[in-house]
Amino acid sequence: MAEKIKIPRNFKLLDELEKGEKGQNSDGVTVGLAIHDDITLTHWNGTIFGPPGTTFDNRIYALSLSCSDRYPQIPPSLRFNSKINLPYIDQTTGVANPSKCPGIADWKEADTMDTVLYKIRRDLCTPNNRKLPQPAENSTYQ
Amino acid sequence: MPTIKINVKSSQGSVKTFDVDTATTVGEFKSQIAADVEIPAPQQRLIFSGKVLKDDQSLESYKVQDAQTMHLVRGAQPPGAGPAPSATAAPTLSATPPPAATAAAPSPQPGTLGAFGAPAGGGQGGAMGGLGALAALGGMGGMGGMGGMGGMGGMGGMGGMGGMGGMGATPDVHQMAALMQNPMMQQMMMQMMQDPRMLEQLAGQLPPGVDAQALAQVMQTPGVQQMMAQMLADPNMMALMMQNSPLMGGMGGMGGGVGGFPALGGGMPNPLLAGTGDQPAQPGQPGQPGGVQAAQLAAVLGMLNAGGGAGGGFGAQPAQPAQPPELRYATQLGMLNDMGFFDPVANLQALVSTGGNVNAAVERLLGGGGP
Repeated sequence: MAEKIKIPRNFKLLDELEKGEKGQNSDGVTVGLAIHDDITLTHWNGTIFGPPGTTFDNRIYALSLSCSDRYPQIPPSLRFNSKINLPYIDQTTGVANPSKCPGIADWKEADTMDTVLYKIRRDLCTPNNRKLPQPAENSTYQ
Repeated sequence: MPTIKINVKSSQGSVKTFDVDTATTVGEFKSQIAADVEIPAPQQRLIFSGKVLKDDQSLESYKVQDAQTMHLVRGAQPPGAGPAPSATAAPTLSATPPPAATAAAPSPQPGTLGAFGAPAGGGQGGAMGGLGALAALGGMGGMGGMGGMGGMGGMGGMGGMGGMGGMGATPDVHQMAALMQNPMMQQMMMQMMQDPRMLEQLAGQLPPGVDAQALAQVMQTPGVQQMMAQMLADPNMMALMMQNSPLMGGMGGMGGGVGGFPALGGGMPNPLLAGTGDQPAQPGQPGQPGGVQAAQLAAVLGMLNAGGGAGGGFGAQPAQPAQPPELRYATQLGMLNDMGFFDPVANLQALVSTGGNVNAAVERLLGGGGP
């Protein structure tokens, strides 16, 4: 029912911005504008706190999101800035493979950047990923 | 150099509010809050709007504004090769705070404002305030809280179904009444009563042998809905009910009626139930309409309550108050986690609705949580 109502891109993004600034993101993730006065609301930063009990524990992963003109019809693109070893992250650029990355591959218009980060974070806990060897902390993609 | 209030949210979810001058650097701010958040400044990692804040930058430069929230996580030991400024800046600053920091202190509300959980921002609307009173129960947990009072305990089952659980806290009567007066809560309850889908969902949790349709019919009966409505609307009734029946006791037709519900969730099965449910509507419940339905109700209730007994066998602990479900089911949660179920919300939901039975919870989780 709700999916049928099209929310204009900027309304949605402003709402996401506000949630980020008020700390209303999902557990363990944050989202905010990369450039404070970016009125096009295109470039965003995100963080994911590594979930406890995984090899990602105690690390803060910084990433960049980009919302095109056609957001939310098409999902944001995502690139990790912090090095992270995951099957769907390009190990030289940090760019997420849009057809494999959780949250992006299964993107729905009602989703948000928060949804994407939440799903990635949840994916870090899966048996396949939780023990993946990880690059040194604080290393970044160029 | 305006002073603003900043909320700092810990990874455990608690929020503390601090007054700070926007010219303060991140490093100084960390020192300022170190004692309150119980994390030494060098180990603090502050994140705001998707950025990890650097110690040598001012809060202003990150455009942090009044009433906004940053996240705090405990980092590893002070990074040897990491961003250097933190190690040097923080200790000196904590010893001799610069003018900016001291200037902030004498402001109207010095130091830490909020205890944990203090409502920040005030923008959340009054309705949530009522629920806030039951913060220990947490959000929908408030519904679960009603489990403690028996009659409405059915709703506890529902709360559990909602995944927010928290049955069995024994709320104060006044709190309870206040909660019931809360328009949002009333609306929610009415919706539950009226939404056939909700009932269907509930039906999925019915113990075997209970006819979901019969229940649905009863719940759809105008008289019952009216009763609910009145109960919700009339604080005295509520109070009366609660005095009478800390554990489901003599609630008569209505008590029975609603009381039948716990059988659904299997949430709060009560040994008393089986006995009371079969009794016809007790007289002496003033102001109760729908006497016509009472008999009908009682019949169904008897049936339901039988189910309640079955639910009891299901492994839920009756009346274990004042413990949030995540604590109560800590071991089970651990087991589920070890088995490879990593979604804490879903896990908890499954446990709550199965009364802590790990096997049943696994089945639920594998079955997608559906009926």
